[in-house]
Amino acid sequence: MKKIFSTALGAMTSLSVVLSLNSCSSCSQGQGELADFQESQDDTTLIVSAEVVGDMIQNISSPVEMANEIKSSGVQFSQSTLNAAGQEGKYETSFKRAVNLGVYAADLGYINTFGKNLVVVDYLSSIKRLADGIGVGQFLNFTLLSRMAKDNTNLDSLKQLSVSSFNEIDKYLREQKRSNVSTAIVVGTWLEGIHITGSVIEQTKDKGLIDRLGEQKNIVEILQIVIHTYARSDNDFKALATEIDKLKAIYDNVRITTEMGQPVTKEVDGMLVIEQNEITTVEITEEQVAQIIAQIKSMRNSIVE
Amino acid sequence: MKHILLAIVALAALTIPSNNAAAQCGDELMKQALGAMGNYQYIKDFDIKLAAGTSSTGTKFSVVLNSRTHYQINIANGSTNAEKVVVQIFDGDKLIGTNFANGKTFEAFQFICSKTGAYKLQVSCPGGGEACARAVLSLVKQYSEAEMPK
Repeated sequence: MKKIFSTALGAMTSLSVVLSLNSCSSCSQGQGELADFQESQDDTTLIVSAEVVGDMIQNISSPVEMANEIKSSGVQFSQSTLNAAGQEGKYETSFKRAVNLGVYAADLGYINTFGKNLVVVDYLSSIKRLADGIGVGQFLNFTLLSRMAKDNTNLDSLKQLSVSSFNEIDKYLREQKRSNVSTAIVVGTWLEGIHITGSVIEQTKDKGLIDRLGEQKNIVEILQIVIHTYARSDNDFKALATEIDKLKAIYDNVRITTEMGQPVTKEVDGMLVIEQNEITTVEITEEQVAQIIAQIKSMRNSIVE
Repeated sequence: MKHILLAIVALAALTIPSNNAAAQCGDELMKQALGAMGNYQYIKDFDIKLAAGTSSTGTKFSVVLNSRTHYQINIANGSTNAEKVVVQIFDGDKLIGTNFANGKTFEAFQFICSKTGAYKLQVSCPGGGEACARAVLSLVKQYSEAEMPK
């Protein structure tokens, strides 16, 4: 009886230890990594709540969409536009690591979209080191991603896994109340995406991309609120806030008008299709385009240098 | 001895439902939604968990969608859901569309977006039952200005 009891107790203890380890396999890493990500930065002290910030900033910068649009413009792949792989060693603060993780995420999206698998592994290495540096490396299956890139067989799966890994990182950071880190990543991804777009616009003057650049007015307004929220207690965000204010001032002169229409829902071959039916017009001058690109370049360069 | 065995059974009983819930609401659902997505490009997924009695409010997600872009949303419902979840897209307070149409709840729908901005996806269970689901947002096509469906 005593033996059975002790065996059962032992089994229960083992089970609870296993459950604890499983449920917290990713918790311990990263808690001590953020000493320089200003300790006073706490989601509860923000002027906009963490929940609202999370809502505002989710999916602001999908590298997939921007990269596809760039590829559709017919422009050739240009590696020199990207932040060179292997730079991660010089990013010594958590803010720099996070924001450059975002930069490399956008670069990876661009590289994947153009199917340039030979350079993917270099970028994945940089991404993995930066992710480890801020305690989220466990969400990147580096071995699998690298193998997929080297095998050059299933590019769609590689793209999907890359994007979903970053979504997991974002979700985890918000759950851990580290949305300042998540925001830094999102800002980096967005900036690099617009930087690449700007470079392509300079070469091609593509009307679709210029409109897309103009439409970022709405996104800049959201980013400005979010960045200022963190700038109250974080010097890195404070510097970024000054720069986003300059960008916002340029965008203030860009006009976006929307002709309202009623959405239509129809069934096409068994698929439900909803058409929004609003017409958006972007009025942006060449001078404004040049000013925006210059300001984006300046912000992006101060981040990657 | 009997008490010990009961304790072990009780422990197992406590563990088994959570494992089932994980199977019904976890990675398996994600695989289903991704499988239904087909060859379109994955953008984002939404992990949906609705508590009983939340029929009117449900749960909300914010997502930035771009103009001239054709999206698809695939929804995989938990096997124990009493009914399929309803997804509504809002632009501010304006309801743009829903997967409940023509008297049925579709497990996939497409949205042709003509205005870049932050949209809200509101997911609910009309009957107010407890439910879980996974939704995957994917990119179908990006149109030029001239190509946009009229």
